[in-house]
Amino acid sequence: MNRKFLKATMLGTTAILSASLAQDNFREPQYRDVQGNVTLEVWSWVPGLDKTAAEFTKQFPNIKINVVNLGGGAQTYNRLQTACRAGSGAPDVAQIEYGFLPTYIETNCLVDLRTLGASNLRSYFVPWTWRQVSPRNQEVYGIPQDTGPLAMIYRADIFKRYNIPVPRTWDEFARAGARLSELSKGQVKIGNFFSTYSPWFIALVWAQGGQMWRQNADGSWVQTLNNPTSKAVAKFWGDLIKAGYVSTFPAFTPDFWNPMAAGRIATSMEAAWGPGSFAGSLAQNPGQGAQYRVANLPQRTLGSFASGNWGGSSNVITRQSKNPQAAMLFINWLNTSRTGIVSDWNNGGLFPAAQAGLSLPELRNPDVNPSKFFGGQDVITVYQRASQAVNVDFTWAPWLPAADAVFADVMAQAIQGRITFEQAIDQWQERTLAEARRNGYKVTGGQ
Amino acid sequence: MTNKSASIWLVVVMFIFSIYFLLPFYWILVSVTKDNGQLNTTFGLWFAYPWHLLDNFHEVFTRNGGIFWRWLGNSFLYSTTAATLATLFAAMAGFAFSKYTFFGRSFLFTLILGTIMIPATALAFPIFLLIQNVGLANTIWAVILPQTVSPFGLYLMRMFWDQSFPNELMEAAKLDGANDATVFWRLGVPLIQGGLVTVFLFTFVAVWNNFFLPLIVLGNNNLFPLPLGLAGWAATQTGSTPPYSAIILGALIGILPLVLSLLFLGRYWQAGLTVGATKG
Repeated sequence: MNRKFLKATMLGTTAILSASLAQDNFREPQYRDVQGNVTLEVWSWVPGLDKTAAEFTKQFPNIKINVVNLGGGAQTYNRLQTACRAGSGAPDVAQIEYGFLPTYIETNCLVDLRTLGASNLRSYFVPWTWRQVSPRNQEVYGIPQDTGPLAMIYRADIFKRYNIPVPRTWDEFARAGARLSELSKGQVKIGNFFSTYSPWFIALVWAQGGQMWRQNADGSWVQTLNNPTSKAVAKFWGDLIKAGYVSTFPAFTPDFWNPMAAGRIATSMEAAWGPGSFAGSLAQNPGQGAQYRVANLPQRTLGSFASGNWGGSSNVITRQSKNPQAAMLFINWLNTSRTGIVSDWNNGGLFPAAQAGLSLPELRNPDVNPSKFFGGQDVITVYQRASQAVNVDFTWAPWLPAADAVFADVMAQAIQGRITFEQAIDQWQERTLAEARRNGYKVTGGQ
Repeated sequence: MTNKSASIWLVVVMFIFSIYFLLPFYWILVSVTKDNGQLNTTFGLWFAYPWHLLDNFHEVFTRNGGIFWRWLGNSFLYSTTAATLATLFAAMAGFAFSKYTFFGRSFLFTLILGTIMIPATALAFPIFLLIQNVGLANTIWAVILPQTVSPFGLYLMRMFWDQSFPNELMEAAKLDGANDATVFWRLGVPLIQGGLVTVFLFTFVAVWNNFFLPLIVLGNNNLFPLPLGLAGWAATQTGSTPPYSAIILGALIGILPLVLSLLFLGRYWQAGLTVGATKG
């Protein structure tokens, strides 16, 4: 009995020692297994999550994971809404993008993870990500999974060819645009405006400290899509578009990739997952002499440094889960353990929300994409800096899809020159406000 | 003379429409030979070198442990089972509506036809609740059972019974002592075979293409039909690019059965579209 105990202790110590050696500075919380055999249903569209889940089950053999990929956000939300309203059929765990969390908070579908000890995990995550899953600064509705802080992807070869310095501020960006246009006779644009993706525009406003939504203590909302920062950002890009310095190709389409590879666009403001999609979309066909690199997002002034976030998601536990403890263990492990973070990176290109995850050498291998595509540059460190600099105070509202639809519409009108970009932002505010009220939300406009 | 020039115009117009309808299909054929990079950066309507058709086949058949075959098999299982049952029920109900007079017949028939007007999305939530409550969620029956009733199929079958199976024949058979089941199976079914095939085809295609129902009632990748499985592959997750060309190839393989059914059984499709048109 005694000897057995001793042996077990020794084995345990060795295990802890070797584990801590392997993990160098990586800090992960203590994971406590749950009693009994459990199967968790997990709805997520992270590629290869089944492999990551298998790693988890290797470590906790009593917990099996059934990963269900319903095909992306729209489908998953569709199904999740139905199950939440019906009161049955929801999974234990679901993936939800930050911007969509308020919808599910509103419908009372999610477990407040403080009841499962989530408060202790706060320090493991980049501060702004925690605010995303705890928008009221009290209840915690999810564990941050992946993120998309903004930086600037640029074609180093173009800047070299025209002997123009890579812009560090928005003023320099505008000047570089004018110069590029002049030298290339209008052939090369300094950047591209993604007019069909409001979250991209919101991230730019976010980077400059703008706020779009706020919920009052009584549950009513304030919407300020037309805040001064928002209007200033829109005017800035609008002027460049009108001058012909910036193109307006839709993101993720050949319409955008073709001119990018052909050297007709010099930069693109891209989230941390942008390098992955650049590599995935252009690796076989990067363009003649193209050198893709990543630099900080241009700033208001030299010396200041801030960023915004585009995309990324969290893991939530639904109130219908019969095994919330096990579910909590899984989403905690998935997003704080080295194994989980590295596996999600390798299989799905997820840029982590965990502080320690951002420093991992596994993300920085210069011989594999995305770094390889960027000439071996350590692009992760640029995005790590960006993530640390994302403004913490930014929250969303449940009617984001409405705001997104209206944005694409008003921006199309502004690009056609039928209204100014500032008018477009005002219309964005008004029409989205009306839509939110039609859906029964108590919401006021404000500044 | 006028007739001839009219037919030339007809041919020209049909030719233009054919191009219009075939162009997307041609795009698919071109795209399955490319990889992601070529898909994004080469001319969409012409091939690019080197070819990646074999790579794409490999990707489709081996991704996630070769689950593609399973999805294809599921699609066949759901479509065949649901279409068979739907055809049977439609034939029986059509028989009843066509050959019997009973209280409320035209009201019931109108009511059933009316359900065609209800969009599938409006029914999704009640069906979901129903499936949940009877404990069929996440089983193959959750996909099959709701699709075994086809109001449109019923309508078609009634038209076929009206047209292809004269009431006199029924009366004669009854006089000879045949009961209803015998009349239906022995006399009726052989006469309305064309109608059966038509309804089967329509339902088969409807089930094959149904995305929403499996989406809301299934919670296991191994039970997914092909469209739902492919949607999972195509899901855009930040940080990685889906294997688009392979997915397009998967979709192409997925529509082949439907294309073949149209080529070989096309006349039944036409029968389905024109039935009732000649009835005065």
